[in-house]
Amino acid sequence: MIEIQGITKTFGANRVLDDVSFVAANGAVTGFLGPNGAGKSTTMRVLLGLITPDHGTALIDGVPYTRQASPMSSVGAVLDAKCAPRNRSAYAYLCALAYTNNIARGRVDEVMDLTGLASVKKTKAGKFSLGMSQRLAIAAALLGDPKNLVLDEPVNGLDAEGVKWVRDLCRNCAAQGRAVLLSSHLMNEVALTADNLVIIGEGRILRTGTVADFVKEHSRHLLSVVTPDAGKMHAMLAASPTVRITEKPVDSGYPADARAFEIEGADFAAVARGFAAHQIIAYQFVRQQVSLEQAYMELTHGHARYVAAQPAQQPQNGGAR
Amino acid sequence: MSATQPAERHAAHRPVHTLTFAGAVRSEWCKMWSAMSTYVLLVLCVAFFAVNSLMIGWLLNFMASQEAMPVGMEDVWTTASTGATDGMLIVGILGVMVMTSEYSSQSIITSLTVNPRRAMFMDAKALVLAAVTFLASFVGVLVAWGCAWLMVHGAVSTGTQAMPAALPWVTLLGVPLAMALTAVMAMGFGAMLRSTVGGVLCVVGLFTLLPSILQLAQLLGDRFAWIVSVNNCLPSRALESFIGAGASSFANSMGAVMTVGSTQPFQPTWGWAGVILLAWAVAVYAAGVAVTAKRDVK
Repeated sequence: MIEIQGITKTFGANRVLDDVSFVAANGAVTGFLGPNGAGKSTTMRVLLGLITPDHGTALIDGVPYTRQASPMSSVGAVLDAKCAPRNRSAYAYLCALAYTNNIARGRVDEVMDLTGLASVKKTKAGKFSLGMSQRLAIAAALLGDPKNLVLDEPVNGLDAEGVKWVRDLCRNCAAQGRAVLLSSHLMNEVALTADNLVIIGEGRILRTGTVADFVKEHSRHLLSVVTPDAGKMHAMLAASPTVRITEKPVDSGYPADARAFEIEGADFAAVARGFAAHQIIAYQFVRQQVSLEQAYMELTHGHARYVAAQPAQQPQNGGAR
Repeated sequence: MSATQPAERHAAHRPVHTLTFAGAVRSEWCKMWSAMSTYVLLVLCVAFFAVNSLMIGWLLNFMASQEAMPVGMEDVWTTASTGATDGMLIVGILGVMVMTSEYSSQSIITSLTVNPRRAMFMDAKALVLAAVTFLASFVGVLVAWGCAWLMVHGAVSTGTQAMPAALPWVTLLGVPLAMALTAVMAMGFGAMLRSTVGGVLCVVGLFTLLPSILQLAQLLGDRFAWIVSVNNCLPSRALESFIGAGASSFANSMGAVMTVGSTQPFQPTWGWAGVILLAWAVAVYAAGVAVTAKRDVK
């Protein structure tokens, strides 16, 4: 089990972690989500004793990582895919890591088989692609058959098969009762793999909970409508206070009188009947689901550290749907 | 709650792999021999010992034949160790790189993750570095002694009567030991600066540039004699005094003590010079460990 309690860390004038607390329980995959620069990697490095926090404690099965008697059996970590020296063979790299914790050479062969690297045993790590480096980093993490896994963006650079393999690995490890902490900036990836969610933005925890709750909460339906009869539609829906209407920019290709809206909190069938009864014309009438990615973006919006500048004008693309 | 409780270990029902100093040493040994730079620098180290010995030996032989200079066995021994000042730079670079390559390749992250006891990590590295440097320098000195014997033995006229008893020991074991200390000192620089360029500049600056600059102070007269005294305590000068073992030989007199004006600058005896070199190594290495233990690895 991984427990992080009240971690605060400042680099110069920049507060990168602000009272970060959460728990990654045994037998579960905990997804650690946040935009780039939100503090995910820093949190993981604090957990592993690489960075000393200003305040707070990070415990692994009740003990700080730096005091673990067998670090590699307590935590397997992937913090950076490109951690192997370029001029060293993958095998020599893994052996050097294994020896510190008195892990036998046989285990190195095992993890190389397990991660599909057996054929490139003698290849220098500098010749590895990002995907292969990622597999090598995961192989290193598995050497000690660890009780906890800490993976920082482990699917970056992996192909589809590799992504599925990491996902299965996380699920299997959790099923064996281990705690898995998996960071990602992709909500969908986490939703597919994780049981629990910790969302961080600008060094602050924005939300913790289960993935199921997050999905339930955000799986609301939307009605996307393009109509020339905006006035009639507003009048019709004015009686229902729970309905929220948001105007959107109209895609090109619609008649000049068209306006686009998103209607939230209304029954699809009732609105359709209402449109018919009030003789409201609809150029488009589509039922949509808010994606998890969208819900996550809404949550972290304003907490992203690196945001691209918005172009001055929305490009006119698409057409009548 | 403690992870070291035996009951807890048995409860896990799988082999527990404990972090030990011996394991850390084995790991560093494996790392050391899987890097190409180790082989290159060690071969260079041996080569410098041999080449220096050949050159000085040839020069000594030539001078002896020209000027009927008395030559003793002490000349053979001190000629064998003339490569030490060059060797110092080579093992210094090795010492810096052993540490900074961890940072430049980012492998420091995994190294400190599998072994979060940073002082233990450094000590294991230093021990392996010292052992490897000692062995290579020992081989270097043996080869260099062979070269010196080849070049000088024909000119030996005074035998062993002027040879200090400690000289063979200092040459065969003291020089490799001094090389090992130098490498560990350089590793301390590498740990403090975390950059190969910075570390190598420190090594070159302290071992060669600074002594040559300070040497100029002897031209400035009595008031600046203290600078020469300081210079005599710098690592490379201390090494020269130490390996000479007090012998009055051709190789020693080339870098001999001079008076500045009428003042005699401080010149440690060879034994104290060895202690000064040890103090340098301990101080710089300790600073390196302190910095490594304290600073974040981002």
